[in-house]
Amino acid sequence: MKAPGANDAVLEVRGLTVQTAQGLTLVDGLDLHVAGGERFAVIGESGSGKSVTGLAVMGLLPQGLTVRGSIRVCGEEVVGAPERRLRRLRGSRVGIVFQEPLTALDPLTRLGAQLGEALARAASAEGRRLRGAGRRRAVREALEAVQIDDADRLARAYPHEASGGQRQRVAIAMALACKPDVLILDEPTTALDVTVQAEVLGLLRRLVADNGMATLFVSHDLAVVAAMAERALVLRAGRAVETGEVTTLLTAPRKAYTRELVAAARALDDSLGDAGRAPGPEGWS
Amino acid sequence: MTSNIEAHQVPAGAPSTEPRRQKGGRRRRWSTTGTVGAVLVGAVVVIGVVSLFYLPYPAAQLGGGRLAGPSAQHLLGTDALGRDLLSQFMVGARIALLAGAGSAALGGTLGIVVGLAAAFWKTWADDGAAAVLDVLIAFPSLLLAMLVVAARGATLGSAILAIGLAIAAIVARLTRILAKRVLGRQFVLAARTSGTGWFGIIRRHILPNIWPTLAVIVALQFGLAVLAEASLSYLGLGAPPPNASWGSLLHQAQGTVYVAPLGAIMPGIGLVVLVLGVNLLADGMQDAFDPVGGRR
Repeated sequence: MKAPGANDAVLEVRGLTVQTAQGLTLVDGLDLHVAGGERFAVIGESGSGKSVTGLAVMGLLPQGLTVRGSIRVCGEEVVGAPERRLRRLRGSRVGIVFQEPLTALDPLTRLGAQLGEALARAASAEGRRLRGAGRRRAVREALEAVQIDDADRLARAYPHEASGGQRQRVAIAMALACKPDVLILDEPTTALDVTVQAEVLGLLRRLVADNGMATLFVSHDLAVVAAMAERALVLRAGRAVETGEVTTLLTAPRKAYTRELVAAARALDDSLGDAGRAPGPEGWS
Repeated sequence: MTSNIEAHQVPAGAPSTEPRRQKGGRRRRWSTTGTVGAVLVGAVVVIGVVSLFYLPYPAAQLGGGRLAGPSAQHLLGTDALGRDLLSQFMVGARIALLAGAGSAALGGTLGIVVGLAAAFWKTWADDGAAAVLDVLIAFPSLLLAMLVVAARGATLGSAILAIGLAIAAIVARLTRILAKRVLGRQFVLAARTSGTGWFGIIRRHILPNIWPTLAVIVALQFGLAVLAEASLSYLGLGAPPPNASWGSLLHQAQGTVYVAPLGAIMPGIGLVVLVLGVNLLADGMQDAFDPVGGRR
């Protein structure tokens, strides 16, 4: 029931327009289509509307923003859906990993308790109860699945006692708790230092491949996108500039803006030389 | 919230006990300030509890000789009607504690519920609630108390109701602001992404994050409530004699303060000890509750 065929769109966005109360347009007529199991990326600079798009898919835009158009997750309309329906959708179909894990985790709750809560909610959605020793075991397994070695110690730690990489792994484990069909990754490695970034990206690639879920990867980093996505959409000032295979986009961009982005990234890489890119996602250049 | 807590660290010079790391690393510091406060409050509580079982004389019994000085029969002397002052003082301790606890409990509960509801309401209802709370806070609490007393009669219950309502407005406003601040944090968004409902968010995220501050505020309100009840009693709007509060003792003793100063001094000392104790205790709580010890 939860594995749509490879060609069904798990995420279908049509004419998405997001405006602020002041009339500023953040996203303008965006169309995108992510098939089951597909790894899709939204590329754009700061303020291009990529994170807003991610939140809109979750139905989590802040109050005061008006949304028009259509967002369908596994066939269910998100735009204008009541909170009850959205909550069910979020708990089962879509998961999201935010950029900064420190703010995405409750500072006053132990990591194991936060993860356990997410796991228990996912279990109760399937009609199972998860508590006591069973929950502790599930927490340990979930932590081990995101390659955390001393899972028992980390489960007892508070967010400020864990490293950035560990925190983000916990956040990833929480997003995966409900085995989502679509995983939204909103710059998941931007807040991490370069070596940890490479490890987390490697982990994400493996998890995505193992679970066969589709990803919507939001990033400004072309090298990371090249490693993480098959298809991508370039977003500028809320409008789609270009959509296509990542390799095509990066090697033979058709639009001037995409060419600029690629050239800028290449220039940065060249100026940094060999030391610039950490060992990690195989580069595209 | 954080800055609020950090702004009141242990006062300089108070030799705080060494920060202790507990399992999981949550720091608990129990300061000398808190201990002193607990001792002061504890002394008043002991007097209040003892007054339930033992009084040197029934509080209303006359005939000890009017305005007598301290003696073996009347350790603190007697008042203008010949009633034993020590007995009245002990009853007053009980009344003060009841007034403080009752008002703080009523105001705290009501305030937290209203504040949380306001924080979760849609924008216009929330704005409305905020305006109503502002008006309530600006409304002179003495006038509110007089209204309640006019409607219900001058009893301890009226005083508690009036003070409790005033406290509720203050607590509600604070709760609303604290809860909204937590609601705006990303971990609430993250919790919502995993499908947590509002009730779960309040229970798992809002309350744990705001209750240390709220507990301290309610404790401080306890002290203010004791003073407020004493003021009401002093004005004749509180519990009537002979089960009189310290406020009405002060009122009674006003005319004879040069002849029998103890009648005014003792309730005064009682009030200072209790309110100071509560405030020190609240300071101690603040230090102990700050879980991360200067977070981030």
